[in-house]
Amino acid sequence: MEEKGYVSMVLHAHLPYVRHPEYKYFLEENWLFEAINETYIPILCSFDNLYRDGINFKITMSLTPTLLAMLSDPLLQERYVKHIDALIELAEKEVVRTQLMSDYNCAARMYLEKFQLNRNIFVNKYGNNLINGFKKFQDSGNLEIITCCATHGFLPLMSVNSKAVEAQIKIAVDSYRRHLGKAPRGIWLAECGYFPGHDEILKKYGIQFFFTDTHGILHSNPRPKYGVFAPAFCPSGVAAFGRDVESSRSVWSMNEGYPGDYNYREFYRDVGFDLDLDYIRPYIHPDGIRINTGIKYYKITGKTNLKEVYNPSRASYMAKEHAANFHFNRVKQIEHLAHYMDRKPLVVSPYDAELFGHWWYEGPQFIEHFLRLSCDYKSNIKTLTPVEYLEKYPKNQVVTPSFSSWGHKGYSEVWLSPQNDWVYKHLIEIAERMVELATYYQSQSSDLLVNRALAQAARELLLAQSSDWAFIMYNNTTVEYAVKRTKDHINRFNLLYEQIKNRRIEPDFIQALEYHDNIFPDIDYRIYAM
Amino acid sequence: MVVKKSVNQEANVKKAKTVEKKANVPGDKMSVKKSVKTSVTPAKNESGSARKISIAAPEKGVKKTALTTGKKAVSRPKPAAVSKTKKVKAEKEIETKEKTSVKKTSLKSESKAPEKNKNSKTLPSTLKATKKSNSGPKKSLHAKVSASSENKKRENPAQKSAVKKTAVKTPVNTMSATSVTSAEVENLYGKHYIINTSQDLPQSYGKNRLITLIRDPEWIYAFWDVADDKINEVKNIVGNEDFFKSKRILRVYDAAAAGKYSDIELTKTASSWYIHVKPEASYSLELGYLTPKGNFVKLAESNKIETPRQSMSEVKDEKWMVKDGVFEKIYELSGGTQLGMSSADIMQAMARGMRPEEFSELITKGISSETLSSQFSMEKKREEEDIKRQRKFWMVLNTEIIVYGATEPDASVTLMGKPIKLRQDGTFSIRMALPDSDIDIPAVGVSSDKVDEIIITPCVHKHTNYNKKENSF
Repeated sequence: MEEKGYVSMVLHAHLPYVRHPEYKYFLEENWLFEAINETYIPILCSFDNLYRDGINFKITMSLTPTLLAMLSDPLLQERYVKHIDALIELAEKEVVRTQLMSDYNCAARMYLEKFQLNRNIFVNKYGNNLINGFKKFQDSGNLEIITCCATHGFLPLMSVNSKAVEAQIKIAVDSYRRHLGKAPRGIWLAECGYFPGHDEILKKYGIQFFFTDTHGILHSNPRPKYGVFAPAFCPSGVAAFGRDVESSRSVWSMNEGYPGDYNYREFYRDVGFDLDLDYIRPYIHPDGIRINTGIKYYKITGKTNLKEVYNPSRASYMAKEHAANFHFNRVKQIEHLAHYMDRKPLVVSPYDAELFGHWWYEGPQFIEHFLRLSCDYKSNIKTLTPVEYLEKYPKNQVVTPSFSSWGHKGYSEVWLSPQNDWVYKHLIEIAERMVELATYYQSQSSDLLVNRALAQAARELLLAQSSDWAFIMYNNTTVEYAVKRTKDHINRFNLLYEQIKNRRIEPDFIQALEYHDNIFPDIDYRIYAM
Repeated sequence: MVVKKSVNQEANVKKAKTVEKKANVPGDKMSVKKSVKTSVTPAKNESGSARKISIAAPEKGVKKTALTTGKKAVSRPKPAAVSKTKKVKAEKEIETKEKTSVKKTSLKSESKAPEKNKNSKTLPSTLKATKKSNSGPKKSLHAKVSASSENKKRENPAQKSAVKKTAVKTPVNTMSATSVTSAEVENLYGKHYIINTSQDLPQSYGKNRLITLIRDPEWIYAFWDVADDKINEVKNIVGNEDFFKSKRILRVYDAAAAGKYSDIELTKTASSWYIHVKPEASYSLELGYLTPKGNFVKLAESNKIETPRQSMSEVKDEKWMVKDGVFEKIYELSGGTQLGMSSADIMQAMARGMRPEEFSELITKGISSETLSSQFSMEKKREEEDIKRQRKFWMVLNTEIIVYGATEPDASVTLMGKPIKLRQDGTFSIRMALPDSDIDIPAVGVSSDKVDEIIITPCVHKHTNYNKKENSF
């Protein structure tokens, strides 16, 4: 069937750089392990299922440089294997423990199977490095992998220092090339944060497209003829794709959205909290603090504390139903839009990847089924990637998008509020100091140690700039950790600055920092030079 | 960006006490959010006009507020009151005395309704300004509008920031390589350093600078760093006596009104400020002292900034024209009429571990096109189911049995017909959760030569009874 329009689904996969070799166990590293278990591997499995069935699906994913660095890190890989081994052991015990209760036992056996499968996929199929998995689908032409700011720095609040912005882009492109073997064509600006003029920097590094939140396009100048339903070119020639509100909301709104369905798995009931402490102790925090393990036996059920037992096949059925509903609604939306447009509309639906699977456990099944339906010959909408849309419609309106982000209220408030505004005094200062050092030393014939110190200073600056820290402070979740990370990196930078300036570099200190904050091994500090 | 829930929970466990305390703070986040939601919308028009008055055309009325309320207006820790204060003579000796108390009251004002504070001695300064200007002289209307709209805007960022700043005061930094405590420890990779670098950050970098950042179309944030030398320099220029009578101000230039500016009077200790501005306008700021004689001595000047547009552009593109009304339709279908609360908020909050119930109030209920009708029916069905489940008394009793024992290491043992694995010493242990029922759990041990057999059978009963009693009054 001739398609009437297109859907471009974009999954933004990101985690801040959390890696603590100095500790044997570090709780926040679980963010990565949980995301691998519940999101990254299940999504790869969904892709695999589609691929195996010969379905030519199209989807876009951003893998942030921090995530690429962690996925390819041997220490974290090793720790993930330990993590999944412990989970398999727990699941084995659970299968025995629940043998007299068939409904629980059914869920327990599902977990055991999934954990064993995950381990097998991680270790044997992808050789401990999931990037290989994503690369496979990039090579097959199904997955457009895009990059993101080097450490997920929120660029609008960095724009007083264009070198700082440029470094976030350049280092991202380098990291992409290192891990994926070619240059990225698109970028997900961290937090969808676009600031007018930054597209010039994207252009400089060969990036062809990025995304903005809805109002970034809607409030662009001049008025965008197609709203968010077609890309627009920035004055630099880089294309901007605006986010569709309706498809976002239909997935994520608690009242109208799918993930709140009572058949789906309840996120907040985990055996880490529910079971006898002595029994569960080996699988929680070594200090005996209860944490989520990933084994969750209940469905959402409703607004009650008496939760019903999760039924995996019933939940899968609902995920398919919801995917069909989502597909149906996109068809209707696109048919409706077609009345007002003289070209085929494009609906851009970006989401945080980790929501699928981690929070919405059945999310990867939903994605798989939606892609399946969209690729069916009877479907009158098709999925495609932004590049493919630009190939179909190479002529687009030229506009200047408006400053925007996808955070609460659409601008900088989340990252610039009384809870976190104190960081900018330091972030702006150290970025300036970095420019000062780089400018001075780029023309000096400096020795290896100085170069190492400068490279490390750049790493500390970049890590301090992660928008995640400000985000956590704003949302009042693991504030202590976010504050510590911010202070650590700023202080480390300042110490390096003093040592470099005073020509008193301590080799042990440099070595220790390289060991702690080892991201971007081939970083070139001269990007900061004027 | 996800998976923070587990950690969150850990923090809760660890710091149960602190968390409890936090919950009692008046500015508790959730409650503030609620009040924001209810109060912002009605105030919108008012604040819009107030904005025009307070910044685009600074009026004498605003200045009068500052005069009538004297010290209060001077030290109130909130943005705005962008008043042309050239001639204002403030009584600043009170400022130092009242600084802390004022800051605290501004926190209270977040959770208390203004009406309740009428005539109260602990009246927050911001509110007092409003009341007085009500009966104040000419043009006080402007001041009233401006001040009251600020009160309604509960998210007024600097109120919170002032509070925060008193709490999180960082000592002057004494950073040097020696302050790093490094210890060698063993781990996977052998010996290495643990570096402790989480000491307080420098309070000043000894530079004279003023930076402005855009928070949203209506608010900008300015922060500054001024070296003592620079302040001493100013002291020398204006003379000691005049210096102590001078006010520290932020001078805000609106690029659209050439040469015109408005002044914001700062508290002595402030090092940042949120300023209420207009969308789609261009600003630059100067930080300095305003002497009693009206001279402005500049300490630093800021970068130029342009606030973003808050609505669709008026500029139409000749090459990309549409028929009348089509753009408006596209704008509406794009969700343009319901911007502000992006669904990304919902996604992100949930992804990062917030309970959905806490968040549901933030969700906009608007539907952008006709296409969602099929979802409505689904939603309705779910609601009905929910109602059925609600208000049901409940109780859970988990029961587990641990069956453990020992036999000859080479014997074979089955439990309920299933073979179980013996440890090397012949012991075994099985843990099982029990459902509601009468269960026999036979354990059968057979010797390796298959001659002897021992059967031991624990019998377990678990029953749940639902009784309905007459409601006795």
